[in-house]
Amino acid sequence: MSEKLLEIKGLSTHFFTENGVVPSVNNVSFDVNKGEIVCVVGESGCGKSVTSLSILQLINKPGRIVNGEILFKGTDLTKLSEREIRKIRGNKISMIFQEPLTSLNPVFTIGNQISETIRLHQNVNKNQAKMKTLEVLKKVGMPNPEKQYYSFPHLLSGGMRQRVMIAMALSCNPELLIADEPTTALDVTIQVQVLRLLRDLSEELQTSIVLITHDLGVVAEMADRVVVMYGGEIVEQNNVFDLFSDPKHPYTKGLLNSTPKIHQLDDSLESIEGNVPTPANMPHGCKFNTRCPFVMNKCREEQPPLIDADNGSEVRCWLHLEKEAVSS
Amino acid sequence: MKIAEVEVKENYLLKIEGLKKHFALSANIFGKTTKSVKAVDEVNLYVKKGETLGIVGESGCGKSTMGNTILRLIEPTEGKIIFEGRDLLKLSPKEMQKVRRDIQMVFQDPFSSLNPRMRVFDVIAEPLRTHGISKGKELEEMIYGLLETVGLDRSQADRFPHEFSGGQRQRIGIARAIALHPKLIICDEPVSALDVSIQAQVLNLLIKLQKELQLTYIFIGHGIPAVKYISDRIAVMYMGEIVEMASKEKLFSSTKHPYTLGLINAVPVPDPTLRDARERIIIENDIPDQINVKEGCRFYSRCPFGTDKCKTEKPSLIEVEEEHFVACHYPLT
Repeated sequence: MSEKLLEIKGLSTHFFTENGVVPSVNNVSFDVNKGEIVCVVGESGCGKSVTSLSILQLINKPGRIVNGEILFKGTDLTKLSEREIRKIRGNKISMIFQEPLTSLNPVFTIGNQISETIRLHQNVNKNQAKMKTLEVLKKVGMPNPEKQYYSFPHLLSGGMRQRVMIAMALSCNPELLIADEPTTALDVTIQVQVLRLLRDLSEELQTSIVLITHDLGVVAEMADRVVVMYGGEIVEQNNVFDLFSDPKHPYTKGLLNSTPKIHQLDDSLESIEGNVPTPANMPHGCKFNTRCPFVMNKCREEQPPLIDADNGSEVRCWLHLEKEAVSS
Repeated sequence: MKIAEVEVKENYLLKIEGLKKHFALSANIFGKTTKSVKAVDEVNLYVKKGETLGIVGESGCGKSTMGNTILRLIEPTEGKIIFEGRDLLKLSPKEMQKVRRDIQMVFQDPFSSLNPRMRVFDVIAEPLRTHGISKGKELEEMIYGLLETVGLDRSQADRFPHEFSGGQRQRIGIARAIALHPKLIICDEPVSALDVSIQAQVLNLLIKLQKELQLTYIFIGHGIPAVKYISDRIAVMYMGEIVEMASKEKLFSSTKHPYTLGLINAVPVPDPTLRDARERIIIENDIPDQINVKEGCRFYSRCPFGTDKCKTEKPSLIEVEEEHFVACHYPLT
């Protein structure tokens, strides 16, 4: 049995705006084991980014975690003071964001920014921090690190900037890395390099990764386990192989069918009808009922619970519950 | 045979010859350009009636600039754009305006390409009014018809763009583009900003409209999967040049240019069982400096097969098989 590093239990994050409460994340629970890569996948507005920000207590007003626990090695992060959480951020848990240019400070050299992180969390002097920085830059495949140490962020290309972000995130050997769409702003030829780097590092250092993405291709490439989100909730959770070979929730099926398959010549593409509902006009009952091809009356009336299915998977669909009732 | 020598055939709707667009960065005291970015450099291609030509390449390869030069939204530096037998670059502004009726564009960002102060009705009506096609009751009927064609409801005509989601806005952009019954539509990354499930809707709508209205598309995209899905033929661009152009089947089954292969291999496959099984050529490094372009093949710095010849001599786009063009000294077999 592998060790649980992070347990999210019943997390709800709501935003209290002038126009009412927006429930961005509702009752989300999942675990991350040591050395495991968990992908959280969903479309824009499904709450995947808010979930990842909630882990590190990075939700700003008017947002607030209203419910739930986030246990990191047994410690509930939601209960920590600002001072205590800062010791964990960037040290034991670090984060990579989508747009590397806005995440880096334009007026400091990259070496300066990485060694700052190291000096903040580790008891080392300036020189040792520089040596560590060069080491970690080399590890992420930065060509000519001695020279790049003194470069400013704007001189680097998108792929190189993202490497700097990864280097910074890894500089304190974190146990958990949260990557929020780390390759969305990058070209495919660069994306493949960055993804490969993340996977190699995870294997080498036994770092767990929570990877937030909208791209099922990236999921297939990276994940051990997958969490599918829709409308602020988990709709399905499974290991990556079963999720792709036997998707249980109609939304997961639709998402798979609407992803063009580059490796097959026969390419029919089905789409999910309708639009992603905004948090302000979420339908009653199952959140997917306005777009679901198998919608029943019950779906419009009552919200289905997350049901345990076979092999440790979970699915939130009435259809699945009925199937089980028939077979048992 | 070099692509520049390919004759204009009967079924060609558009042929581009030696198109160049250089953006000047600095000039000497006599006003002569000393430094420039060659965004588009020697592009040759043709588009047949009724087909979809996909254009793929990474950011900064010049694909959008090329799309914009066709409509002369950006004036090209040099070259010929032959549309239905006439060179568009020789036309007066007035004549060009008439041609714009036949060539329309769908833009990438549905949030910035629709005027936020105009109602959807007026957004779609604008081209019809500009070209004096119709007015009054007739115009109204036309617009309601167009809205229904792209899958929107006529009751939505009085709303403003911000009331719509990204996918719906892109439908409005498409309705505007087809309003004048154009012959050619240039789609500049129309699905890049959309969610996966919505992307498929818009792609399927474009395909449906193509069949119904006998449209010809130039589909510019950076994501190979979407381009592959919609296109009949595909041209691959790298640093302002076309490096390979072929039918979709040929491009994927007998890829000839190392860059094309690297690009295809880089796309993550949505099937975890193939994760480690695929043998991949992965392109290392980044796109080199675009200002001081070195002589020789532009892909040389990233090519796994480069030789001394590639370093000094620039390959031109040559037809190696029927309708399969490649710019490489050592095409893959």
